[in-house]
Amino acid sequence: MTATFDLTVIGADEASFSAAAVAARAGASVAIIRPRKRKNMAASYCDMPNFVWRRLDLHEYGLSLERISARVTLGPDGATVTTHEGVRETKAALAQSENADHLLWADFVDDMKALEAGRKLRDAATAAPTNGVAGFSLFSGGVRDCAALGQATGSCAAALDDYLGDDALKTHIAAHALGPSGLGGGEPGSALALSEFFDEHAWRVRPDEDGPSLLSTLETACKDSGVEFFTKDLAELAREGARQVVVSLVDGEKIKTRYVLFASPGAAQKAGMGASVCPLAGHGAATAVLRIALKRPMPAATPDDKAVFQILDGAGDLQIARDAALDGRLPDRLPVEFEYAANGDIIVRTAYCPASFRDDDGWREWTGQDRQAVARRMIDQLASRIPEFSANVRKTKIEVIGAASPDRSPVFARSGFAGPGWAGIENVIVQPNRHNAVAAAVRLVDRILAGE
Amino acid sequence: MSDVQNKPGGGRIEGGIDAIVIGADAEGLTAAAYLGRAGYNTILLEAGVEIGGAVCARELSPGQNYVDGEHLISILDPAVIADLDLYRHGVSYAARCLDTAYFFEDGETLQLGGDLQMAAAAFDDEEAGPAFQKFIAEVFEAAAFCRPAFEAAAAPESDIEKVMRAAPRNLAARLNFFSLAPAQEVLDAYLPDGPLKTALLCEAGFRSAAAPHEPFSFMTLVRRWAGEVAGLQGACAYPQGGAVAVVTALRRAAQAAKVDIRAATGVASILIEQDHAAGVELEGGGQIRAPIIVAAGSARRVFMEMIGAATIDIGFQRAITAASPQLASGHLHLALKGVARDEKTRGHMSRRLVYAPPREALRRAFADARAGRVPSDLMIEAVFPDVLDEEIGGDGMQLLSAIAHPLPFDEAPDADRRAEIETAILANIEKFAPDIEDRIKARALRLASDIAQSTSAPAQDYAAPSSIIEQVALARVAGSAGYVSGLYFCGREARIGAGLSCAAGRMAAKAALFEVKRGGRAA
Repeated sequence: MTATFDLTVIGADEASFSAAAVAARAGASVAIIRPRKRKNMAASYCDMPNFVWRRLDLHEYGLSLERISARVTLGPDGATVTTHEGVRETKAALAQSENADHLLWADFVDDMKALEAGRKLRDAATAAPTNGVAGFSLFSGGVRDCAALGQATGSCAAALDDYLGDDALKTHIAAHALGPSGLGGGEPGSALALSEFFDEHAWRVRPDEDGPSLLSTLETACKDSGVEFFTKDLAELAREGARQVVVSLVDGEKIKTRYVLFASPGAAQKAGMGASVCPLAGHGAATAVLRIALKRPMPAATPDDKAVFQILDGAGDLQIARDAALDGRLPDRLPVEFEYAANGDIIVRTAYCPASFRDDDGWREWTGQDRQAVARRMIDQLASRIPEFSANVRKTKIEVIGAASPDRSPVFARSGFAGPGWAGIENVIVQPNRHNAVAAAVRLVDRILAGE
Repeated sequence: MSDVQNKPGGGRIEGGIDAIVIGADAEGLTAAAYLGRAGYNTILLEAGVEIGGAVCARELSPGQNYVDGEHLISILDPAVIADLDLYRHGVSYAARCLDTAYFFEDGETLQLGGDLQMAAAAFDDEEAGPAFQKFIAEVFEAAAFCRPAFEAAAAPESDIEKVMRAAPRNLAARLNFFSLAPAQEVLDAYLPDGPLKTALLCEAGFRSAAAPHEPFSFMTLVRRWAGEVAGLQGACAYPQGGAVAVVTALRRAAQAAKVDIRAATGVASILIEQDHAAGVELEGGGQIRAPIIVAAGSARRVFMEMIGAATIDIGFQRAITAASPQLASGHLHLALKGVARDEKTRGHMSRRLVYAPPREALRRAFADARAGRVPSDLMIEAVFPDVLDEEIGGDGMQLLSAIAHPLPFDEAPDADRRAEIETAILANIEKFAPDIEDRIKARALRLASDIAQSTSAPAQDYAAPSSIIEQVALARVAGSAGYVSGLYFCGREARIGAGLSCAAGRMAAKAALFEVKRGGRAA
């Protein structure tokens, strides 16, 4: 007999588990399919927004978390810009560094948070399985909504220019807001990524080194809420009738379900699905994650091991990098983000890799050499800011998310009718890269269950 | 008759006027004609000496004129044609439904009939044919459904909402997809790779600041296909005498509606009394008082200069001043030696000719133009007006009017930049019309800054419009006219889509009439 569920979540990361647990607690029957090869090198810090914490009663599991302390951009010539989660803290830091924009900072953050139209647009873009008009009905709001809509659909660069004067600060914000999704900042809709960055839940936290890991806690929470686990690889998704999806597993077992959710493009890709890395922007870029084990702990030059760092020369480099990535080339100056894992490893990310490469013979897939080239370039970027870094590298491991074959994944492209974020089959939902994957996944599940 | 009084400090105060329209471009003429026809004593004020705004005839070489601003009609509001009797006032089509010939980099060509539904039905390809039919049917349905959203800048909010809410479920999901997705993604979802897809990708990016691989860009095509020419959805037409004939007809319609058109009468400021528009102060010093004011032209000029930042809502100011354009289209008009005589060649020339660069080249072109470089590959839309319209023919010369996109937007390009742009446009025209360079007798390159200069507007008014969603949002904001009652706006910020439309003028006039009927302050 085939098991039937309301929701099937595919993936083995925090966002997938949180979404599944929340759905199960809300009364839905939920299955999780996690690929057998469990590899989750990308996770060091993870988003765990307050509201998810409370809904899953995570404090009962003896979990404690520490916050990201700051966001830092390492500019050229040793210049750094630092912002904090607290508006006041950042304002004070800016004032201290005699940055004139400290006067505008609070207003700027408020306005970005208030960009409600941005959230609606993102939601509409990510998934609206039944009520598609949600996105379009934005047109019908009041005049003030429309002004916000105009701002949200515009470019990040225009929004930053509108508020701030200092180029280094603008570069810093652009790097942190756009970096995860690989946007350039000049294209329509990149202001959305900016507003999401200032969304109150966008700050990430990391579990205490000694306590249980967040992932294992969430797994326990899932099991406590009655989520059924299938530790098998996915073979195929197929639609059956108007409202059901049949999930086939490699050993021939089948699950019938109403909705299938991939909480991140990485999860979708591991399952062999095409996925969009950027919200709204479609496919075309890939994310590379490099884990670096060091020979010696980092020198005291960067004592802040709870911060997230970006390396970028100027805001314009983001656009250049994106244009290069879409053109099938690896950008010369690759914008990278890095942070420290709990064990002292460094995790470097960049979303500015091409999904497939283009050379004189046309498009081709990623090769091992490309992976090595990206890894080298990422290490070079770190070495450009951290003295004697290259010599300190002991071991590296690279993973690429969002790489596509040149003719594109058949499920994704040949869908007949699909929205952005959709995997092509109705009721199969793929979430693009988000600033806060957990919050976004939980909100998505709420909307799915509410029948939106 | 208007009453004229002497104002104590010199100048005159003119009263007894029901409505003032500022700016005699196509939208202003439309608004004035509507108000005049409703029986309102209307004055149309134009700062320049020419009536018609950017769209006008200019001399290219002796005896050979070209139409500046626009060369084709595709989104002209059919309601304006009907309501203002434009056919009676002289609009007729030299070419009612232009076929399009697409040219590609590899030398391939593709021809599509002007009636896209028929063209899709007749599309001779086993795989692409049915896909194209489905695509056209679904996009046309969505486009027709969206039409109110593209014109209802100043309409009461509830109207659009009602229409949108009434969408059936499958259409709603499609609208969601169409309005948010990149054109490239939509086309990938519907059509197999091939020349047809390249051609449509090009149409979606043409004259828009949203590149086809970027979000919201598919709406550019939806907006265009929401337009209707001579009852045919998504078609292009060449009016007898060029686009300028439409403006001339609008002027006649306004005159027939007894609108008092005054050229060379600049407005210095708009008088606001108790939060209500009360009249205008002229640059010459006099005043004209009227309870309804419709303003065409640039929003910055109208709201920031004529009214003043102090009176205008901050959010509104932000919305109308925030954008700084990066992209623009360029117009190139060429007078060519030698006229094609034989019917076959003329047949080929009586089409809309489009050069469609491949997908990657297009992406690079947008990236280049945005970074301020002149792209090597450009989309070109060209017509031979004198082949379409017998009356234009210069002696022994052929006219070619082309629009190239995307180009970087320059406030004031220097001679080197102009030469660089002209070379790039010609190189792309050569791709479908080889050796044209040798036949050029006279040329006129019209960039955004040139067209702006001729209408004394800021150059950015003629830059490529941003994504359609942004435009709709901005148009709704601009349509609110900064919350000044009695003031209605139909300038560039109230328009949606590139091309001559007149919908904003109609909607501004309709909003004014609606307000009066509802018992607002008016004559």
